[in-house]
Amino acid sequence: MDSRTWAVILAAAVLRLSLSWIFPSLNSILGQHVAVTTSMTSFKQLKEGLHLYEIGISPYHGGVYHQAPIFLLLFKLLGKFGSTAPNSLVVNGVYIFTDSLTSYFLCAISKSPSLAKTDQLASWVIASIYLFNPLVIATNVARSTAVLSNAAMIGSIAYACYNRNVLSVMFLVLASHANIYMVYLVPPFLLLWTSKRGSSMASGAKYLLLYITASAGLASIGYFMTGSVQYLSATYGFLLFFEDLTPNMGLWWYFFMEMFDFFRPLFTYIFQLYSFIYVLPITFRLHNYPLIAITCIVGITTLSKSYPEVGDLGVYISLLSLFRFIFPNVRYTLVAVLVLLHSLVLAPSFYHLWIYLGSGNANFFYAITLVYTIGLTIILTETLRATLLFEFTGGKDPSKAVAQI
Amino acid sequence: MAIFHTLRRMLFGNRGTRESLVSLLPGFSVVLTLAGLAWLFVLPMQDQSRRTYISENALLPGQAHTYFHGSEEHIVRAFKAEIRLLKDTPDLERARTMQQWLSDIGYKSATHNWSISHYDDIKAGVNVYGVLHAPRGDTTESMILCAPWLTRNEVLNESGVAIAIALARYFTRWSIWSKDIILLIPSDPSFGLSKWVEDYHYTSMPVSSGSIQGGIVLDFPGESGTFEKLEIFYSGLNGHLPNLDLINTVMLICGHMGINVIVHNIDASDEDYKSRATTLVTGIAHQALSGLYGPGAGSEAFSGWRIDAVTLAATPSRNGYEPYDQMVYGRLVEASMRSINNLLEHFHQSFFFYLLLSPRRFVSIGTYLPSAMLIGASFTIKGIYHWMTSSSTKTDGMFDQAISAFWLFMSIVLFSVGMFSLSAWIPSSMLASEAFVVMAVTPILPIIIRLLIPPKPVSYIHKIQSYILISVGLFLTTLGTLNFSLSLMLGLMFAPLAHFLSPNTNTPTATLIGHLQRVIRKTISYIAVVASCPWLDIYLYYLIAVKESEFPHPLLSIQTVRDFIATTSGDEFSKFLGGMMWSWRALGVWSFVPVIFVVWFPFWLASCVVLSVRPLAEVDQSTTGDGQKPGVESSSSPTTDHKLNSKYFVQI
Repeated sequence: MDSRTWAVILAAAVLRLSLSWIFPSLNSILGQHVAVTTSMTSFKQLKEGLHLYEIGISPYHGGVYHQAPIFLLLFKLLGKFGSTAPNSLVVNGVYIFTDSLTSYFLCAISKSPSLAKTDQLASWVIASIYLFNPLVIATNVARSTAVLSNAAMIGSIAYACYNRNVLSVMFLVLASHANIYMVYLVPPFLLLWTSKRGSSMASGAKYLLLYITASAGLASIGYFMTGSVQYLSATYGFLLFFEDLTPNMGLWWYFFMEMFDFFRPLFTYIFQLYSFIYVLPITFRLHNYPLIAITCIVGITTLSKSYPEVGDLGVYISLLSLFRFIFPNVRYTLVAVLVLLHSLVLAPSFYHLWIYLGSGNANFFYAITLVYTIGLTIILTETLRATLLFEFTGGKDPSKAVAQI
Repeated sequence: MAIFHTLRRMLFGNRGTRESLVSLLPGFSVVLTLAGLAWLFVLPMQDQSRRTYISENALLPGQAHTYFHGSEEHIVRAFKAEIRLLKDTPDLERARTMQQWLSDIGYKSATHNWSISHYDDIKAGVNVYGVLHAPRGDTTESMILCAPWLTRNEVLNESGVAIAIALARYFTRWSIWSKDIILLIPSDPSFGLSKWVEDYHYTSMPVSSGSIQGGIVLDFPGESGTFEKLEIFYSGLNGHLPNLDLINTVMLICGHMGINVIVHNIDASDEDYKSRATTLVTGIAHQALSGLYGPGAGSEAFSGWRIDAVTLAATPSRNGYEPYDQMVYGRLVEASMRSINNLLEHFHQSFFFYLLLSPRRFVSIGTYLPSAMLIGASFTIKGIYHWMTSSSTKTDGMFDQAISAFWLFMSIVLFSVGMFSLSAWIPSSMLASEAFVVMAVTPILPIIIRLLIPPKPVSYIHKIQSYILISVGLFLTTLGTLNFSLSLMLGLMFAPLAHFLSPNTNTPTATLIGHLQRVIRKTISYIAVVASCPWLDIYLYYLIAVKESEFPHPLLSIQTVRDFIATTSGDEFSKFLGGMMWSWRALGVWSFVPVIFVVWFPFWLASCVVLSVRPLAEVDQSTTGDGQKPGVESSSSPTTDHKLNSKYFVQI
């Protein structure tokens, strides 16, 4: 961590602070925008859940709050130090600190023994790719709780890279407690945890057991907090069975909106299966590159999870920035970037046409989420291809003579 | 395949596939712009457009018999006489009197005071409105009958207000209303009306009703009580249009009553290509510039609130030609209100995106959108060209260069945003001075930039150009879906900067022709930049369209130019610019002033930079600039090889 990286982190903190202080309404505008937050990460709903919890009613009554119980504990604790309004000092502090921590973790990963052997971007570049990404900034200013769970996930990678496996397991437990899709990361993480020379299947089983026990322990907090297991269906059930049809950047809502009710269980099953189906094959195929496997799974989840948001894409891009050595093999970067840019600018404007002006309709917004998916798919398949080419040639670059667009 | 290779060699010489394709892009971009423009002129052709039709069956336009005639005319005349008496009374007193009238005829009525100010520039007035609760409704829906005290030409809306009140009185006798009727008499058709609409939705008003489903704005000046033609205004703010069904309903009823109805002041009684094209182009201009200066027709104030409204503007008869009576106008409004009353759900069935070619012909979004999209795409394509040209040389500092060019571009954008905040903050009277300063600096700005910014590599300049073109392409595409007309207009306005602006190069030329080419290219670039200065263009627009002043003699002398500026500038230009700022400040027209500052101005500034920054000699430009030969694996560049060595067998 050189002075330049610290300067980047400081500048990003000042930018976030000034954004929420100069434009106080930005927190709620972005916090209520469907592309930026979902009911799984909304800060507004967290506040409502917190209020219910503080006055002694189960926060999961009434179908407002669907996030993990641990956030209630965290923000109740924060409430002791000051207001938990979205642009208060305490909340600003926590979110800015979390984002800075995430960028610190990313820099640490790029300096870790295994990656440092490869061609890496400078630390300050990696930090600024994360911190100055408009998607990440928007997610942070919207106070989406995904900021916290993503930080835990990246922290888990960082600790695994430095062989601090128990800490890594704990961070992954936190991350998957907040966002159940992070469970998909366990198989590639097992590769990371057992990558040390001399480690055996038994050590993998040990970490897996630790992960399961800790997850169960954390999950039981909800039972002690609310006195019933209702929270399980309100959080995990809500996510798995896709109960909220509010539009988002994903592929689910439109299908389920159009569908007859008796088809819903079948298609819920199929869609969830689809989001999982790539996990094991990618882990097996990329067993030499567990970090890339993790990144690919993060990317696929961004595309196929039930309540996706644009911040996930920001995290995925930041993870990609760690693998400079596959960049020369990645084709169609310009195409993918332009497609994603257009879809990200058109999505809010089509949503505006549909919801506020009433002159557009749901098809406008859904069409643009499809374009977004295409952009994401191009990046996913190209990074996968680049990795395989890299493995195949052992570092030589066969695409040199091929036209690169 | 042999033929293909020969052909390729003939066209592109020995360049590789990538370079050949890239070299085609600028031409392709020009073709796209021209195609977009040509597309626009295909639209008015025979058989390219559709006849309008009523899509919502519930509307049943013109099916109900109208009874607003006979003795009702006495009431209209009486109100007209009363209104004439109120002509010179102060706002508040006038409002109180009219409120009393509305109470007397059975409406719940109230006055609405409004004022907006910016330094000493204060706009204020008093609106009057009343609500008739529907006999068959539950106060959840309403429709609005609006007659501004002043018309769009700022004269007394004498017949309009009288007919509106007489109609309102007449409506109380019917038991068929299923939606509340709001009668609104705003003090002026732009700020006062839009302030009322805003307060109706945001604050709790003393008298209120449900969500407004549709509205008719009456604009009928003059005391004669007869009119010779009826014009329909429908353009909303920010490119928003009311549902086509509402316009069709009014048109159809007009047809039943035999009223000669026109749009955009173009008489299309004998429809031909020329009249359709003129209507199209005027419609595009109206949509792009609505709300910008002067009071609007009134219907704009309802856009953006999910209220579909049109203005029925009658032209009072002159020279004794009196084809239509005021009672016909009243019956037209009555029939239209009856149709809106019939609605079972909000207007949604017909088009929201359309361009009218004549009162009864339109083109829908699928047909006209390609025009703006092609032009938008031409910017993106040119941007891609510049990006690929700049990255054809593989050097180590490529990434840093891209970042540094991006920061320069971002600082230009931030500077423009700063200028915007400044212009929104200063008093309106100072806007003209600001504009004149920018215009005066324009011709020498390239020289200033040349002195200020150190020489940059050619690829750096290409990068800046690609950033601005790609972001403009992105912006135009998005704007095309929100405000097609503005996107098209800006696209055509920016086109010279995209196609004629070539950055400085450092390829050495020894021949005379080479030098001559460079001078010509330079001059064209310079003209393109100066001609697309936003303030200069707005000033020219003001002179031509608003002042309708004649241009100075082609043989310019300093004296004629000085006279010309003296007679046309000053307070009036300041007022014009002030009006534009007001449209943003009070009406919320984000699609013009902010767009000028946040898109046009930075685009133009960045183009100035591209024009004037000196190129830095690049060593590797000449060696690897032409790219590799197809099919030959490159081993020439030592830098890339060095990088590759470190990448063998990475185990993570």
